[in-house]
Amino acid sequence: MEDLLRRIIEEALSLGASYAEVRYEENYSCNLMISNGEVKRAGTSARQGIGIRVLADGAFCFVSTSGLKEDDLLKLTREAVKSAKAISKLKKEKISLADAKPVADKVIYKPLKNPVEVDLSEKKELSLRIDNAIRSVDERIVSSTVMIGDSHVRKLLITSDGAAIEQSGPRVRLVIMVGAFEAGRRGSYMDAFGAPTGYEYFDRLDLNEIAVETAKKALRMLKAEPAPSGRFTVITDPDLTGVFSHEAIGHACEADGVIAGESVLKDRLGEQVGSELVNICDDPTYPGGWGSYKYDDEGMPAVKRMLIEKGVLKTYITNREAAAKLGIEANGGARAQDYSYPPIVRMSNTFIVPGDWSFEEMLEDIDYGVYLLGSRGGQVDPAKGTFQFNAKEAFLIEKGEITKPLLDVSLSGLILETLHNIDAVGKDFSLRTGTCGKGGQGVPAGTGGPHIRIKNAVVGGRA
Amino acid sequence: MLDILKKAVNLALKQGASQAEAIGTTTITRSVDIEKWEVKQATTKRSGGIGVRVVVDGRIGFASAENTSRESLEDVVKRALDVAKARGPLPGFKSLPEPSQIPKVEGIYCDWTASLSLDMLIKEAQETINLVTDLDSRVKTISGGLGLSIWETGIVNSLGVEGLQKGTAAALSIFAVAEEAGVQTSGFEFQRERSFKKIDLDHVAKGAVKSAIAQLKPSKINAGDYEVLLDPIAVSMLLSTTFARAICADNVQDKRSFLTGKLGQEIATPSLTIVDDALIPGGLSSRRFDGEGVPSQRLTVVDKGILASYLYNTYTAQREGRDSTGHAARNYSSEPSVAPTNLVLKTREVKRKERLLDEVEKGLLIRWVIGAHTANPITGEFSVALGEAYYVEKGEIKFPVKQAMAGGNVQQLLKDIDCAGDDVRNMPPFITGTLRIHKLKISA
Repeated sequence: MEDLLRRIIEEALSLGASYAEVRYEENYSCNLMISNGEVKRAGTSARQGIGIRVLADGAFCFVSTSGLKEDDLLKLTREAVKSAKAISKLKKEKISLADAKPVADKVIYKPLKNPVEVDLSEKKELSLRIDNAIRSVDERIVSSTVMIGDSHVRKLLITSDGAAIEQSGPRVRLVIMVGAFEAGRRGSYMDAFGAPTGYEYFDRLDLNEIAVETAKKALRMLKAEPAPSGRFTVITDPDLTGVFSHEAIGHACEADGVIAGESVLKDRLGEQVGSELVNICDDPTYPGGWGSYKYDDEGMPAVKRMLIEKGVLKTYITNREAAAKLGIEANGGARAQDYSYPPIVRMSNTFIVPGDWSFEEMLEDIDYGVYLLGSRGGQVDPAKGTFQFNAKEAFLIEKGEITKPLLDVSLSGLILETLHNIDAVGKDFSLRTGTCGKGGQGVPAGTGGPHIRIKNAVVGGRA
Repeated sequence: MLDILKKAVNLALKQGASQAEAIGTTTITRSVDIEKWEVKQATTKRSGGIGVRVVVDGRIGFASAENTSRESLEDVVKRALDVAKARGPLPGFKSLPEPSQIPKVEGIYCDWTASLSLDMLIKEAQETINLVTDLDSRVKTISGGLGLSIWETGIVNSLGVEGLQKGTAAALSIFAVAEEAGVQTSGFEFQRERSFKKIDLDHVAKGAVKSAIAQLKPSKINAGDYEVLLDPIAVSMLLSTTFARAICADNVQDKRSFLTGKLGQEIATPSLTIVDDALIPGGLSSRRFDGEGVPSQRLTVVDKGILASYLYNTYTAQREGRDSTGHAARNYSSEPSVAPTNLVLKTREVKRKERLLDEVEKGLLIRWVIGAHTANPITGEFSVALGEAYYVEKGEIKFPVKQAMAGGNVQQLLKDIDCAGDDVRNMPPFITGTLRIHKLKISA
């Protein structure tokens, strides 16, 4: 395979490309969905193909195919170089790439229980056990859906700048959805868990407790009351802290967006953009992170990026093109969903670094506020610097104590104002799994942090 | 393609399946991205693969692969059989579909569109940019994309179903950002067709600019109930995640639909009729057969306000002891689900779009909304922000609306539709004109 990829590179260079990057990928995946004790969906899929990106006369062209015939691949390569040159003639500004050191490496993760080798019936038993546990919690639980998905990916990358990198590893994920019903009211809750490992991940989890907790959260929704609207002091849990750091800060730190003028953090490097308590990083080297990797899809070593340090904006997430354009360090932020997409600037694991507050200390000073947990979607406009998230769960805080559950609560505001209003950062920490969508591509991304407290935050409720 | 599929089916039967089905797809997409007034990148993508479904003792197994070589076929069949063994019986499943006569549908494949090269698209994209360069100094940037896809899909099952069909699609979308007096607006226009010949570069590019400019100088409106004209774009956004899912038998049977138990009942205004028609010549969702090889048909879903039928694939139909309506939706890598094709909305009376506008005493024209995906598909409740909306008084557009929300329930919305316009547009899965809604709740 490596020889074939090298012949594609040679073809591209011989036709006048200044850079070529060829990625071969094979992906095996299995998905299982159980609903109310019944297997609703089950299937396995095997994918493989090659993606080729060429830079010629300062313009890119990307082609991909699931076919592996050499003739077809070379023909596609010729088309790519020709189209890149055609685009170049129309471009005022030519693309150049930040320098890359040639890297040859093999990064092979060997799981204890490789998803490919775990029997489907074992995966089914695991899902049924969780599904059963959920439905045994309470008779008001009316629906339960458990999805288990796994994959094993092997990637091979060769670039004309000397990268020859093989990376392979598994991934497992569990998604639970619970519906509850009582006296005409519906409550629902969804949660997801996962790790870039094999099925040994599930041995370490207390699946029964996860099932019971998720069911209890759905039941709690039946009792939740409409929330107040207005400006309050709020505490966000690690889940929502993570979503905030990813959606509101991380996206605004993506160098391609900064260059396109679509970021409120544009031209602000070195500037105080938040309170001194705020440290936010995007770290692809975080051990066991859902968004971790050793080399990005341009063959650059992944490095930890301290985006905001003591409230000061320190750097952006870059690929080679954006780093050259902005004159800053290339930090290995180019990722592609799979071989059929070109790599673009992406986050990895994005989180707020823990501080030294305990949850009780944060709560103590709040006379009237809201505790928000998780996110079930929202909107961010990184250009205007506005955000709005709908929390999965929320509670009222009265006189330093968590009191009643609230319904349909949203947190919104201006990104920069909110960063300045963070007045306490917890010492706890957790990182969660997610899929980040951008430019039609979805990649695994970790999000997290500690509990944080925000003064004067805009809370939207329906009371 | 059919030879490979037949090979897979035979292999599965030989290895113990009582029934087997193979679906295959090949797709070529070519696309060009436009960013900040420039052609940014071009892409060609060849993809496809094969999916095999097997039945073993009433158990179903499914597996797929991108590689269609002999060794890969053997692997897919083996994996499908493995899944069947582990999975357990599927309650109510009787059989894969029997073969029946497959109709012809005109205008879903265009040779010329299929022959266009990436270089040709790059030229067209540049031409599109040129059409709006220096048109209006308030326009700050233009972005978007131009693309086409050429696909072929085949299906074979062991009961004799055999079908092959191909299609083409072309699309152009343009986003424009305009700025004046510190206010920034985003406008867009797009066009999707089966043939690239029908794409009107000028209409799309200038439409996006017009949309961005028209939104400058917005004003606030008071909260309250308004008469509303919903553009086909807004109609599709609001009904896609709600109504279009609620009519699918899988959601109905699993009680994830607000239309469960409503068959034969009045669910919409008596002037409204909705037909799912997969046979419309040139329709963006038209096809000869569905994802299981069941022939396409014309199905009345709502007849003068009465819910007349749900949409079925083979399995959901068998659970109710009836026939599939030809609505199996899938690609080669998935088992069949249920989805509409072209849902044609018509009211008893259809008026000219201008006439609808003329008749508005005090109301809103809503072109698109933000956050329609957050609508509750089970209950039909929605709360969306108005993306592009205009305040209309005595038949005249007065000003663009600044930051307002619209909320309600699709179940009520269907009852509040009173007339459709003649500006019919194919907005998958809908084909509809502007709809006049006599009352919608707007909050500031």
